[in-house]
Amino acid sequence: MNLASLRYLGIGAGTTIGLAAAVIVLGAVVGMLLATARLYAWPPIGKLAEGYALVIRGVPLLILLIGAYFSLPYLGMDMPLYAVVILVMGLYFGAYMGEVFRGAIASVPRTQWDAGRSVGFRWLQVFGIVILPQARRLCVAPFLNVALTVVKNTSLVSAIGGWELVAAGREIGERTGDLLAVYLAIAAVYFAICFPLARLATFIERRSHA
Amino acid sequence: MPDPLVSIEGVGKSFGANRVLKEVSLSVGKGEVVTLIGPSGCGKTTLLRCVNVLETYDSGLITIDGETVGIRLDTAGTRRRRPDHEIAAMRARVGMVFQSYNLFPHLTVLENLTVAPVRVRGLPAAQARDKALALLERVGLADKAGQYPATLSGGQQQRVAIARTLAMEPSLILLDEVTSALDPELVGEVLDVVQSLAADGMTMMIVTHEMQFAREVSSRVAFMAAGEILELAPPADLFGDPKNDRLRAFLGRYRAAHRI
Amino acid sequence: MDFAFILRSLPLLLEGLQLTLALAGLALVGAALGGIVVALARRSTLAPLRATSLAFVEVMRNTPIMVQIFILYFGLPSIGLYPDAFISGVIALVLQNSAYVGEIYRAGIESVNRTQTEAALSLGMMPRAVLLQIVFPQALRRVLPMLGSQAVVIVKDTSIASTIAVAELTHTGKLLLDRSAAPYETFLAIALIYLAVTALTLGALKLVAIRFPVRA
Repeated sequence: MNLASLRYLGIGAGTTIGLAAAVIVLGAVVGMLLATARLYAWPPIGKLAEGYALVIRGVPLLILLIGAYFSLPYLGMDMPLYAVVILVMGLYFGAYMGEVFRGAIASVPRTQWDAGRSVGFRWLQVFGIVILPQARRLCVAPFLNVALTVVKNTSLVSAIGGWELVAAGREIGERTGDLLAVYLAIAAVYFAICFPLARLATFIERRSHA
Repeated sequence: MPDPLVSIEGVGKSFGANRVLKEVSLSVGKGEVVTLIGPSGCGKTTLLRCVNVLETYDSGLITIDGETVGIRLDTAGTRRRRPDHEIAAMRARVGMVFQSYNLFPHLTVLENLTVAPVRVRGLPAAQARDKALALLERVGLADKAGQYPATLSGGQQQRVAIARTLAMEPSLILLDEVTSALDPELVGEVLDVVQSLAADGMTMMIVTHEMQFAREVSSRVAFMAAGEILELAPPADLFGDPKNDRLRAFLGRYRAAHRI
Repeated sequence: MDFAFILRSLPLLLEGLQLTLALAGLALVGAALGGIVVALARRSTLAPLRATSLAFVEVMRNTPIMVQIFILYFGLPSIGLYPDAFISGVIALVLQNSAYVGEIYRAGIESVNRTQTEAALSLGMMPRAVLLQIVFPQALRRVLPMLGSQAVVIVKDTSIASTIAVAELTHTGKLLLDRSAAPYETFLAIALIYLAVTALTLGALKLVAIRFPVRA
């Protein structure tokens, strides 16, 4: 494994991280919408959100990506693959993040609403000033765990022809012929990206229980 | 005392830098009820837990019926922890009732009483069942045999816990603050059961805060503070005419707190 | 909606489903058992065992399953081992999920109050009997929901075996989507089949949870 290959892998890793970051951001937005829908919206909307989450959690991401890939010719042909991937994965992981956010917000005691109302806050103020900050503490660790899953799942992008760390590695492997070394290196890079995140999540989890 | 059932000699125990027990010595004769009282942290619960090896003591010796508890001293005098099966065998002859009852929640009341006799003594299931039902009858809970512990009140759970230890036919029962977690109105039913055990001649070592009860049920009471036994006497003497200063202060505080 | 097409492709899809179920079934059993090994090793009194199992868990949880499958299927030939695609898929799924399931078991065991162990020991039960009769039954009941989620993850991860041409449901779906005139119907059918399988898995675990409830 020479230096040029390592640099190439590095670019792949960067792409992976970039993809993951975009998905996490989109997922967080979607998740927030879903969580508030299930908690506070008109019940049918809430039920829709719940149904959405149930369906997403029952179908593998890979088949959704494949489905989207095959839709490309039929829909916006000028949508680059990365955009489609980010959209699909964002909607997919949004469902999981929705569950995390919903759980965290619901864990804030109902009495906090009374407290917020009684100092004169309007609904949006109670939500933003009293409830969300408390929920944020509770959701960081599970959120990081979902983020970790996002990073790992970017590997699926290579299965539908996208380019990221695994694809980069595969190209190197096809040139050098030593596939074992390449894939072990890829695993090591993922580990290097994910392990700190996992440790951070554990650290935060411990602190929030203390 | 001729042939005590339990013999505690010079027992010491430290948790890290904290010496919880300092050279404690005590004998308990067969049929005796010895109660340990004292302020929190004085080591009374630790001493009790050393007797059935839930804690290991660092120095001294505890023997039950002549058999050393938890450790074996070899010819050179070195202390070696006894193998698991020997400790388990000894525990089968010593019953313990805990402050938080510790019934097994996934088993029915009846199963709580039969699981150990069947698995440890190899008793046939039917025999274990009959014995268990008789014991439940004795503590007044025969009708709860098929229920799960979560449906019982604290006092009822504690009575089941006592029946569970009786099912193993122990020669000694240790009771660790068995009424401390109970609502006041439930304390009486548990103390009644303990009284009946004493009346039947069961050897017991009790740790309790209930002074009145200690007075009624004990053969002797030991007052402990800071890891030592400061006074050891029959209840009439210890409560009626306490000699140790700390004991007097302790009893004084207790009476003031309970407005006696 | 061209249902006729779906009906025609059903046999092929069901063949794919068979392999999905085979992969999932073997992986579920393997992970359930492997998890026991991991959990016990993680709690062992022997430091090397604890360290090794910790390293194992961390590696499994921080690398994607696809890469693990590739290491087995594409990488091992470099050292003379040629595992079958299906077997590579099963092994990777078992290894990865043993780590997760092992941690779930461990969390369950540690959530059982130590006083339960003390009470059982005080009755004269040997440590192993205490674990089997008193701690495990309570631990398992408590973690059933998490085990259910993990089982669903296993079922969904079988789709990744399609990347090494195991002819399970996703791979079959890809083939059909390629040559079909009714991509949406095909996709819908596949999604519905997956939903059915995951729903049944969750349902099965709900039934187990009813039969073995936590009675706190």
